[in-house]
Amino acid sequence: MQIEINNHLFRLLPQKAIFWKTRKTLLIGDLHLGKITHFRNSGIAVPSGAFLNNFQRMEHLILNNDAERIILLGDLFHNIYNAEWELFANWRRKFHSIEIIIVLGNHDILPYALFEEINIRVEDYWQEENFIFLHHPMEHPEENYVFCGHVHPVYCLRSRTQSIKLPCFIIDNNQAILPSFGVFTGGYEMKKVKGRSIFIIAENEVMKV
Amino acid sequence: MEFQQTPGYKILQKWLRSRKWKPAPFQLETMDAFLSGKSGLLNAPTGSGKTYALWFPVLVNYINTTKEFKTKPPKGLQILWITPLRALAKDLQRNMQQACDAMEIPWQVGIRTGDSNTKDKASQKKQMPQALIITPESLHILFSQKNSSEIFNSLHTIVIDEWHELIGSKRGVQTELALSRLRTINPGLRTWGISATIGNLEQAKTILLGNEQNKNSITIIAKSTKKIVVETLLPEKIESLPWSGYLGIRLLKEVVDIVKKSRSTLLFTNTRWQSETWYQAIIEHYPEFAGIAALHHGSLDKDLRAWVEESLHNEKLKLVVCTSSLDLGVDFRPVETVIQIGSPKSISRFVQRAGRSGHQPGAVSKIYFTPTNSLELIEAVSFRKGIENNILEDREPFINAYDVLAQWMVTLAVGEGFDEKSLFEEVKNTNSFKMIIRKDWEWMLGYITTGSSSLIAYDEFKKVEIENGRFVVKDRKIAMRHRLSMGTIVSDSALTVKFQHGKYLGSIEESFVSRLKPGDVFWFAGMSVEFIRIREMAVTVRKAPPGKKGVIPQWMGGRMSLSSNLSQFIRDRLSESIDHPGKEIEIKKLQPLLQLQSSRSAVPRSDELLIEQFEARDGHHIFIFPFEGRLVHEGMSALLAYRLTQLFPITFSIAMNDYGFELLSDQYVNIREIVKTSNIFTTDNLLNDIHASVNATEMAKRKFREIASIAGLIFQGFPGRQVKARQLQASSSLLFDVIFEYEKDNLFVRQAFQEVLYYQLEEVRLRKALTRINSQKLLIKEIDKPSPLSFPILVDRLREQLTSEKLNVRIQKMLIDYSDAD
Repeated sequence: MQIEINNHLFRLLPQKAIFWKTRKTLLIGDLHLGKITHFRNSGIAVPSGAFLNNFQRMEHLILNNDAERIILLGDLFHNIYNAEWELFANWRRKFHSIEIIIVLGNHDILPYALFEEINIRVEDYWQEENFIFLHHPMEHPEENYVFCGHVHPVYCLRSRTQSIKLPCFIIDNNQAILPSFGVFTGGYEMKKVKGRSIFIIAENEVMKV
Repeated sequence: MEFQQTPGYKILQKWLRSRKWKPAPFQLETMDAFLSGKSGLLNAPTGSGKTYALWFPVLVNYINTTKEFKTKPPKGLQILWITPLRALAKDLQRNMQQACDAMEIPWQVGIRTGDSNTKDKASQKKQMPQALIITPESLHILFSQKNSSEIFNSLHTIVIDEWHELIGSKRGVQTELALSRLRTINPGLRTWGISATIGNLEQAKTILLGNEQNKNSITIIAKSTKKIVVETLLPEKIESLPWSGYLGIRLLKEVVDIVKKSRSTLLFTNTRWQSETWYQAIIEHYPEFAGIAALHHGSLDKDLRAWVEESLHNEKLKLVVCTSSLDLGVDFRPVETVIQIGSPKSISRFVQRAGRSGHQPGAVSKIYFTPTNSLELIEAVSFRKGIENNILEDREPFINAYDVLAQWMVTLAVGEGFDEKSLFEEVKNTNSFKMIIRKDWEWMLGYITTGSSSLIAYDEFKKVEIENGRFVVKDRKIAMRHRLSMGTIVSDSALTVKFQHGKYLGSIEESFVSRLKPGDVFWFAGMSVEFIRIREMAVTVRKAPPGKKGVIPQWMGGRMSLSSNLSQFIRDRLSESIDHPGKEIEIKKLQPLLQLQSSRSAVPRSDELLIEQFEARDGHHIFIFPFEGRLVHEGMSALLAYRLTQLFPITFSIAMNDYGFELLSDQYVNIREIVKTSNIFTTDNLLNDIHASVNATEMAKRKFREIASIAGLIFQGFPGRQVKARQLQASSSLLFDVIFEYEKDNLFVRQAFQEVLYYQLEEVRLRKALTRINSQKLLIKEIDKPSPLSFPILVDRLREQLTSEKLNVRIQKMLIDYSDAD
């Protein structure tokens, strides 16, 4: 699914990311790496293999779209340091030629040094042309178009007989909210409002509601 | 009997004589069996003196075996008395202590439940009383203490009260596991159960005693002389009863007339919503009841409920409108009358409620049945027949409750730790886990130690550790978190409701609250309240200004499904109504309706299965009436729809009630021809077809919530410190998705699917029903107007759709639907 914002083309991908075509940049929100391990360290047995899927999907996205850069929209790492960071660091070294920028989210409490060690540029927000990238949605986005995460938007499709909750992209007039990228992240139900387009992700497809 | 010559019995007899009590035959029989060293099961109703039947022989035995029984009481716990209900503990304790004091036995009878205060707990830790009344949950907590086997060293007797209440639940599994442990600590342990009448009494005994002890055991049945009379409240004219409906408010006047005539009444309803509605209607139409009527249901605050129970006890209330929350428990001596609104769907439940009245010896228990729709009159007759023939439902024990087992293993590891080989044998001795295989056991060990299916650790997962071959929990934080989340009763994700000044009223479901705006008025706990705000799982309200009316909240898990025993009776009563229309008053009243049924369609006989076909503007309807209850119909309708979709391309929408179900489609299905060529009711391939027909994954996901909580995958947070645990919170459906996707051999996911199959779709009953249908004649009727039997299903708005389409296609269609709706 492709949309146009401020004369730039953006691809909404079923892997829960956006590809900014004109800049060969992947936008990825809310990975929450380390969450599974954090649970496991506290004695809650979430399957440990699950987080590998995050890396596989990122790898797939880079190769398939020929991406040269990633902007992470915050909440990359769930909480305090644990072994999952090292897996991420290894993955990063494998794709060292890719430029990575992170705009920090409320969960990102790791020391900056860890990011810098693996060549990730740390920012509170990032502006480029007439776009702003940051973690928290803005209440009143103005001139520049905003890309953000934080909310983990899902949309509930309801018919007379059934309802299904699906992750979605929220595309408002001045702001886009990305679905959470991480395997082990929940969702917050979003409603349709005026001027808002919602794109749901159903298995391998992105569909407009 | 020989024991009557012993010194202990003489002392007992002296006390009994002073109170002019004469032991009942069943009490003597129980004493005799107990004193000859037997274990067993006592089947006796509430209020019959069942407690004393087992408490007396314990005391007699003590006197007989202790020389200086007045001065040198034994140290340590002698007897455990398990009760399912905290509220029962106080009454029990009073009665048991009283007997000790009167017989000059210096024993202490203590209580240990979730309500016990820290002071009592601390003094019990120092010195256990001789007898301890305890809930299954609190018993498990004792096992999480470091000195647990010391506590139980001197234990020689264990009594499980109200076993029928525990056996069909996961608390029953908890009890089984604890019993097995106690028998390892003390092989000579005597075990006695007390149970009300249930269908599978012998099985209940075997489960409780275990195979070894069961060999030399006895079942004692107290002959009940109490008679139960069922009277149906009948409207003047049958036409004033609706064809469908679950409320029954049209008989308000008739009900209140009966309430007025008696000193005290319990008005049983089947759902919390129904109880609130009835209470509101009574207060509105008969304001004189304000102050002498009260409401009691499971979502009301426990202090509020305790107040109602106490007031009822003290005869301060004339009427209590209640739900199953008052099914068991406290002996309400003063209750004179019991009224049941709507069918409770099970004979046992009906009998239990009837038993709440007429506790005086020799008194008659009378229950007034108030039908909420005309067809329930058949159920009224069926209840009466069931009671006459003493037919009661089975309570099926839980099998393979891995979640409870996981919790138990961690509990023991928090306590003294365990050796896995001997614990495996011990666990296999229980009924719930007699089939567990070594491979699954090893999975469980992996789950609690490495958080994976193997015992090899490759990350920092920490819960249970292995130290010198023993499985132990060393991390204090983990131990504390486990103690806080023990238990098998998982509360729904409810919000608490409170007044501004802080008084709690009860709990309410989030889905209801999310629709409220500040200033909205709703009816809760029998009063009209105004919504102020919601903050951190608490809803603040104030009393609404007079005259403002509001809606009544719905709670989930409302309707019960018809029990198999009752459904058999209903089929027979219908059949009987053809040949003996005037035999029972209710059937006689129902004649106009039954005649309409037979003129528009037919009334099925016992050996017939009625199928109605009917075309309307919304499509082609097929109604099938197996009379097996909604749960079985849920599975059977999906199964049939699936099998028909295999024959030719078609989509069905499905609706059901307790009597039958409906398949609705936009094309005509020639049932008459289809059943000639293919057996759509076959039991061949049943499991595969069920899996293909129902959305088992969605259903399992819903079951998973409880399982994940019990197994320790969901941490509810520390009381009063919610924020701190936020990093560890994940919804059960998210957990289910991740585990389902990434851990194929997970036992808890498997358990969720099994629970769906056995407890929700009632696979065993479904199979039996299909077998029966295969021996029945099919009575196929084309009708032009809905019959009285099909009408209630036709108007039911809860519908499900059977589709074999892929998710993407489904969503495409929903998107189209959705844009149509806009």
